[in-house]
Amino acid sequence: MLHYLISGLRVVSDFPLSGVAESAFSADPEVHIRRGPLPDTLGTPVLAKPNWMLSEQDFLLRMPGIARIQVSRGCLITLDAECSEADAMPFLLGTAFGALLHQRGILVLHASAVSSNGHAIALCGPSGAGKSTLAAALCQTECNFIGDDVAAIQLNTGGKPVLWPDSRSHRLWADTIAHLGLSERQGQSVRNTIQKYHIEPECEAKAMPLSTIVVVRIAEQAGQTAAIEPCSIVDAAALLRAEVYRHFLAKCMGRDAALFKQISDMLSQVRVLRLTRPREPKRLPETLALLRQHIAEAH
Amino acid sequence: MVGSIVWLASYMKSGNTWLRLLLANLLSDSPEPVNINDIRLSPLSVTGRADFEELTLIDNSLLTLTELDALRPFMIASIADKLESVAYIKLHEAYRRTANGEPLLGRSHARAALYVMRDPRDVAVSLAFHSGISLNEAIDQMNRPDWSTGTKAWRYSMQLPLVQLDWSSHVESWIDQDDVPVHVMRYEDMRADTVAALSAAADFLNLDVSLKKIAHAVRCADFCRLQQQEREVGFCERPPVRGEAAPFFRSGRAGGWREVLTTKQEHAISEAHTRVMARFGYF
Repeated sequence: MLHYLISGLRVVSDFPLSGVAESAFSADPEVHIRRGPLPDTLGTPVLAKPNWMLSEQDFLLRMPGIARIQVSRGCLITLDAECSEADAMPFLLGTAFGALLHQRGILVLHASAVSSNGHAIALCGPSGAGKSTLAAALCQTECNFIGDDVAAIQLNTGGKPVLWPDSRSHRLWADTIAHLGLSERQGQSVRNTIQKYHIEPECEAKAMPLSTIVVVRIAEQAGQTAAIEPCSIVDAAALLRAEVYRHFLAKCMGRDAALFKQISDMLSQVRVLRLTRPREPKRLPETLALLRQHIAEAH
Repeated sequence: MVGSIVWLASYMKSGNTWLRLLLANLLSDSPEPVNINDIRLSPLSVTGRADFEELTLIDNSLLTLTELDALRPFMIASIADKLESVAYIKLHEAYRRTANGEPLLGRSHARAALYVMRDPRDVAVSLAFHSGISLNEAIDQMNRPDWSTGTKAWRYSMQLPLVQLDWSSHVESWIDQDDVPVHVMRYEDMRADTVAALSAAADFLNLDVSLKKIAHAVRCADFCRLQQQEREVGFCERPPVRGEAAPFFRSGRAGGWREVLTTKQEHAISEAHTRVMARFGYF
């Protein structure tokens, strides 16, 4: 059995979780990851979408030619892979683990995360908004990388929000690696068939107090300049609902009311900025300068 | 007719956007022309990665084309599931099937397809201007049996890969399939008598619209008006291309290729597509 700490949860797995650093722990595990045969449907689904379904306690994701993955009761993930387990891994650690966090009632954002002066900064936004690229660029200077894609947020015993990374290494497309000059740190590809790579070294699975959430959007028009503005709590609450990881799934799981409360509780202690980045990749430095200025102001 | 989707299919630069504007104006309740940057014919896209990811819960940028193809019928079913009224969805994809023989677009969700076809010699000219490529590159693209874009994943793209095939294969993939009833609209016929062409399409779709409404829609989507709107406010669907690109609504003429293509270029197109061009009266 292999041991991992993912999004703050003690996980044991029957097989290696590629891209995640192993962790040592002696307490009972909270999540098991196993391989095993899975049916095409759940026994008593309460909701059936064309390639996924929900029952009271289970979530089943079907990906033809890749895998079926079932997530049960917030503590068990079963993988029935049609391709290699490594090639199914991004979907297990992404959507399936995200569904598990939702089953456990944990607030989880679609975000990359970096740390600065002991505080976490979450960069939210839809796929393609440039979260990972911004995180990588920030980590070339004053920040440290702490997570990519799935960011779990919980209140600690003192009632302060902390961000738990998913312990996966940073993953970047070939063009970003070339643009940022990171080829020396390029590791294995995320899947055999694509040119998206793990960036070494693997990150440390450690919770950080969350101080700032940056919601990243791409400018609607070419030529638009970078802009950053603070959000009021009311605006931030509405904005962050769309930044919940797999928010459509969360809605279908009946999580809306709970998420609204979790986001509201967090917002009294976290500032939210809305960042509009220019469409042109060559204008990344302009966006970074603005972002760095606001990160510095926080300290 | 059953199904909640009407496909508006065409090879690139064949008049699909004009057809969308004609339909949008026909279905609009407002007497004002529809804003070219706000064509509300479908609430969802079938070619954008974001909608695909939201509905299927899968980061599709990590998939191979074969894996993506296998998921496309699920995606179309998910979209159909969310639609509250008939959606008119633009598509440049050739009509294709998964490795298991299932239509990529599913079997039961489409009520019909309108296929817009244009003389490939005019398409070549328009494609070159639109994409900022040479005429020879445009012709090469139209003649390549396996032409596709976005299938080699080395960076994130907002759009799903597009498999368009060569011009003839694209035309026949749509017109000769028998999963979805299809109505062919030749661009040249649309230009010659737009009211008649739109009336025929409306009849095919069983739309209950008056001739007066059709004539109004045709006036609202008049090419000069579209060009004027683009000059004044720009057009959000015009892609960023190499160098200075022409406006999206550039000329719209039928037969303009005669003034642009060399004899050699004209032959390169006519010889590659003789059978299909003859079948649809382009000689």
